[in-house]
Amino acid sequence: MSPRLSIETLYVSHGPAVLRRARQLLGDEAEAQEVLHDVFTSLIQDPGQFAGMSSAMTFLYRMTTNAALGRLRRRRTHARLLAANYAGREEPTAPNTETLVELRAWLASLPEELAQVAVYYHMDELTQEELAGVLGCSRQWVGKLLQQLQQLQRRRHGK
Amino acid sequence: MTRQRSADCPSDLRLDQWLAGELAQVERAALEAHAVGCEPCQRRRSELMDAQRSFASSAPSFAALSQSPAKAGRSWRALGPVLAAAAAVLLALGQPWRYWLERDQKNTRTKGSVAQLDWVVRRGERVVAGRPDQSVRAGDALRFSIRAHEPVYAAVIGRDGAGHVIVYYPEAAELVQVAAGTDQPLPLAIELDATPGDEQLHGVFCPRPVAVAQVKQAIERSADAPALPPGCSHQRATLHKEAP
Repeated sequence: MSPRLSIETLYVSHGPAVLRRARQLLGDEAEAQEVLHDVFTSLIQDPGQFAGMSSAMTFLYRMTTNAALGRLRRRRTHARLLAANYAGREEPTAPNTETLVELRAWLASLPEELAQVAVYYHMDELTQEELAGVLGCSRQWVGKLLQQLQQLQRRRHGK
Repeated sequence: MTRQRSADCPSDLRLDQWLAGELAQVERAALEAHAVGCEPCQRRRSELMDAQRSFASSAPSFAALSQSPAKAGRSWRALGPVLAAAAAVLLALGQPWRYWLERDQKNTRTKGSVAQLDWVVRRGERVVAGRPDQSVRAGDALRFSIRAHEPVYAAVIGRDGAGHVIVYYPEAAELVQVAAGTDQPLPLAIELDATPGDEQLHGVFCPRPVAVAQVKQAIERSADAPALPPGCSHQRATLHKEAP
């Protein structure tokens, strides 16, 4: 099977999970489609990226998470730029999305590794073992990261 | 944030691996045995399977995806199904929009510089290449990329009609290195406001890290010929804001 054909197969079998995941993280259909595009374009350009990975799904989860978190961070930067240009105006926000908007803003403010952990643990509800598999680290390290995350959460909630 | 999934139930990752056929037979059998008696898992599995069916009918085809290569524009929302379809039509006509875009961009090259700031302007669903003297409107969104013959330290700085200078890129104390390449996208997008007057865009390229404040100050003092550190080059473009 040629690399291109493999990725085409992967697009059909794993693309739905990538798109769903990007939607969940970004809350924006158009941006989710862009992440889908970026993830698979990157694989077309460099098919060897997931060579040696035991699970393509795990690899794509991580890739999608990184792409979406990158966008959340850029969105935060963009919001600051827009705020500078649109002084006095506010972006309309639907009340029922407030919590998710806050959550995304929080994710965008976290250090990269902790943001990933927050997504995998709180949004995906992965076990520590699964989390270690996706991050490619030990369970002990996962435990340490979760502790750090909890400290930041407590600080965020003023506890 | 409270975890809601029962400890016995598989995560979405596990279900996705199962649907993608990645689980070993033993793991698959265990998961299926659990799902038989678990209503939430059955429901979640159905949702994921529905999403797979929906993907097959509504997501961009792989062919469209792999034929939309422009890095500068690849992050645009227009690269969803609408533009993918448009790109497919253009490809069929033998006139890929990428070539049109590149041809247009080549005309804006800064003479003698090791690098060049490129941008595209999105207005609704339409995306056009940036030009040195360009008419724009409030609400237009600009996305930037750099083409460089060699790795270069870059900054993008804006100056509005009132002379206010804002550093768009980077968000750092020093210029950030951009790799050599034809379309190196910057993590930067701006949306133009309704303030009247021309806006200037300044691209600054240096062979080594330079303080952003130093570059900003140089442009504040003289937008036409900023006194930049030795070896740095400067590119300026003016955007003419059309009346709404």
